[in-house]
Amino acid sequence: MTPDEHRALREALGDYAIGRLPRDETSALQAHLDGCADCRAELAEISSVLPALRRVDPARLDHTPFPPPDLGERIVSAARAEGARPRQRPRWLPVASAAAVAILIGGAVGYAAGDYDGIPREPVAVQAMDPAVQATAVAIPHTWGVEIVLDADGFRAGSTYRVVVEADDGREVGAGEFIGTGENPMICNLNSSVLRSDASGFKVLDAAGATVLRGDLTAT
Amino acid sequence: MGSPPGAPPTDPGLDTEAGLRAAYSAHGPEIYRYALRQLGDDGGAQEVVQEVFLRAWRRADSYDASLASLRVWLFAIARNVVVDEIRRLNVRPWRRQLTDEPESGRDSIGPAEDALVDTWLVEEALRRLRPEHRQAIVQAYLRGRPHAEIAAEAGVPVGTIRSRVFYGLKALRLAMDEMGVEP
Repeated sequence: MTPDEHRALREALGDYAIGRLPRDETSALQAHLDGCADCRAELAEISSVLPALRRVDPARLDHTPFPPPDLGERIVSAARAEGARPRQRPRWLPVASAAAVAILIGGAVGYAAGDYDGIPREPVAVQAMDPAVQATAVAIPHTWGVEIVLDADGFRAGSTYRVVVEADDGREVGAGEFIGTGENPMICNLNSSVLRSDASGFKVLDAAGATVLRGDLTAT
Repeated sequence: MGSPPGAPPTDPGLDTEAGLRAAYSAHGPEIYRYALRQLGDDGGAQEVVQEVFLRAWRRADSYDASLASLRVWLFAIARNVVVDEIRRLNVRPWRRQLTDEPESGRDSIGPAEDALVDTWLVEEALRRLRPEHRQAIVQAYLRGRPHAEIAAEAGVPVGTIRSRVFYGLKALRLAMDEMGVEP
């Protein structure tokens, strides 16, 4: 077989994969595939995109939405303003080290341990020093650090609590604060810059600095 | 933001305005389309994009280029921001029964079903292809039109459509690999 003949067979793999190769060419290509590992690998590679491709609505491709032209500059201005004054809590949710607290009426909880969003959620063993506190936690290993989702009640209503993540090297890195909700269940998303692999545990401290809850992150 | 030892010099850090602008130009529009697809709302999508880049700016020192590409890191943040936004709006368009607690009636609040995200990813990947490759795939595969018709419209020989289908599919696989989509 000449290189040109081989190239013609190889380029026919696309039509073959999408079911558009004329029947009179199909048997020759299949015979070639039987003896050519390179072309079999090529066919596997291009076929791998078809299941997802099949679901694309071609009409959507005719229109590519773009953000408004000034959005980039608005973001830079907002960042500049942030850099120039004390960090403010954003309108909605956790920043690098601010805990978000959701008070859930009726106690329904929207979380489950297990795989979520492609990122595994790992149940964390927690121990409360105060018998009033009922808590469960899961850890989510992000690329930027570990997130602890704390689902609890019994922290004194109105009191401020601080959370720190303990790193293997002994560092304690702040992961935000929350206000106790008494008997109302709450969910806090606590973000820390400590990577999951470097984290050994977390602690909830009361205003006096006493540990009221511990979480163990050593187990894998 | 230092670069790891031995790594080539990196772009200006995300904690600089130049770095933030560069990151936005490279990834902002795609994050916007992702948020738009998830929320179905232009204002909400813009807010998500702003929040993603502000969080990235605040956490610039925790980004490690040796662990993840900037795109992957920004999308990890974007998924969280979208979850937060969905929760804030208390809109739950993606109700997914939790299999481990069948009678609780709870829903997890999260981005759309995987299938929807996959479809969005392929669309983004198609947008990265050369127009002639994208057209060949769309016309021959998605619209099922005969090669001869597509070739006549494009003013090229019929055999050219065949090779465009093949190289287009290869380019699409490569674009999806670059976007971190496993085969």
